[in-house]
Amino acid sequence: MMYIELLKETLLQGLLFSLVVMGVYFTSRVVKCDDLSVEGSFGFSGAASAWWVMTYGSVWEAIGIGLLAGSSVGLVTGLLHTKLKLHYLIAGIVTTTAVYSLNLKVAGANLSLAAYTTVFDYARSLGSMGDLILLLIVSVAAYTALKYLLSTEVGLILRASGCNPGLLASLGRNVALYKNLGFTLSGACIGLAGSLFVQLTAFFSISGSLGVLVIGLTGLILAQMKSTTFSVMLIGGALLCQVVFTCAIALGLDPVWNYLIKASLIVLFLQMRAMQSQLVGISC
Amino acid sequence: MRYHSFLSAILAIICCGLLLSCSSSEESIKIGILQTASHPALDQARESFKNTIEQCLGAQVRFVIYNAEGSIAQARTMAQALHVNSEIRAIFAIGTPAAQSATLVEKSKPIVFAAVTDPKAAGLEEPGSNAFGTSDHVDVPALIRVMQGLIPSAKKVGILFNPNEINASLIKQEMQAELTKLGLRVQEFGILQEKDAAVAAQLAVQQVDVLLTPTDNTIAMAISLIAKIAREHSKPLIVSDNLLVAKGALAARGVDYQASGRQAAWQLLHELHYAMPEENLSASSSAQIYINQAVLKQLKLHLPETWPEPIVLIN
Repeated sequence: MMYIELLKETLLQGLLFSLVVMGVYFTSRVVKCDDLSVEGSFGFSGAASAWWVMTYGSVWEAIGIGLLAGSSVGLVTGLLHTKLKLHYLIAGIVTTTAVYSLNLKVAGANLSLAAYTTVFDYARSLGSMGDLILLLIVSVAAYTALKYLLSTEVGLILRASGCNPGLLASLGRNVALYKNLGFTLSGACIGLAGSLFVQLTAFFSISGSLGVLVIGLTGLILAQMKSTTFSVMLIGGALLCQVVFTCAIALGLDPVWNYLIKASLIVLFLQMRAMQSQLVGISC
Repeated sequence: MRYHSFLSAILAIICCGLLLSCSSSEESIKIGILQTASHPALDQARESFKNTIEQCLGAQVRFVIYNAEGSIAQARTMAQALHVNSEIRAIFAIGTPAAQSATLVEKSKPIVFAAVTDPKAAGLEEPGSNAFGTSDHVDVPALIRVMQGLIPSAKKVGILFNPNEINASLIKQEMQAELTKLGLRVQEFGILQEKDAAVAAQLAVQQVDVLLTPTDNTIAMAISLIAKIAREHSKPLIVSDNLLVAKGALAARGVDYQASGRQAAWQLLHELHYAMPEENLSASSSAQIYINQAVLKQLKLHLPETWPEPIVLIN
């Protein structure tokens, strides 16, 4: 089938951005502090990974570096919020702004990795669907790990730090510590995505993180049409979000209308959800 | 049950998109265009590419135009959409990220690119590649000769540029090296966003004798404002994009995006085996100096008696 590659591209990006959606879920729904430093973590981990590949040539280590870079951005946002008492929205904006300079310093405006064998090239050498399977494994592994974490005692306290910090404090627990953990985990997820994205596109661009926050939030909202807990729907939401984006492109209309189509499709989906719950008579 | 309806919704959307995109076509040539973002210079390259192709092939040519609006993820999906459309014979990529996305996804159809400053650094000049195109690299020494010819007394030069733009940063470095070699002092003024332009320009006119800019998208957007501030303070403004001279800069000897678009079209037609005069393929239109007469008069400057290259006077 002719469009199989377009579908594959949609799935690739959907799986990749599912990591961002999981990250956004952690800050927005678990510790209940919407983090606007998503594009900061995504961009910084991309820049750090690209720089690592250029300098040391190891694409696998670069993923670890990206993960570290992303989590450090998350941690900084968390510290600004918990220690310096900045509002979390401001903390996110401040970190993203600061990280922009770091990106320029570390990687510059554009860094091509075309000459290097990326992890996706390795995966493709094993089979034509290798890259898709690789991302599927990464996405499911990240999901499973986080799902497990949420079921442990640490996960329970993490959730309490968001929905009932007063109780947590009365039990003698350090709320700030757990909030920071939430921010860091979110940053790590997004950092993983940023590092993989740079390897997928084979170049780092300073504008590469543009729109990632919107993708993360849209995916999250679409996922929550079905389930408000940490469920597989987070991956589903990210995939659906990419399907919407690809459809807007595949419609082939005047590109000027792209964003309007995207917005309309999202409204349509949310409307479908509202109609569905009316029909069933209950809301979930 | 719910998951089922959810999945069917996804499938419905996919089918919808596919059906609508599979429009039937007559005997025509389709060319895909992938543009990095909306921008006057890139738009000019696109329009002049389209016009040139249409002039040569007439009504039988159709264009499928995508604009990533700055998003790399979108650029990739769009490149993939062009790749899978078997009716599309070739791709025209405008701007470095678009060209990089297209070359990574498309390995067989010819890709011609324009508005890329350093194709080698961008990884576009791999051996055996199906990509080729025009570079918009400015001849920096020649541009600086123009500056010195017009303003021999200049001692301190201010370079206005956006450090985020790889093209701008590269040319800025070259300018800096060249100016330092000539014993001139250089001061950099970074403009990260269009709204910073006014402040940076105000600051620059206080401190330097001449303002110089590389090819830079942000500068291009804010050029009217920068030119106005420069004129108000009687400071010459030399730019690298020929089309900006009409918008109030003093002079340019650099890139002409209309010419790059035209040349990309010629290169592509040659690749697709259409007869093409040889000189079209190698012609460089940048060996012309553009000078804004009104600004020249306002700054009380004079053209030197002799000049090795042709001069185009504007206004």
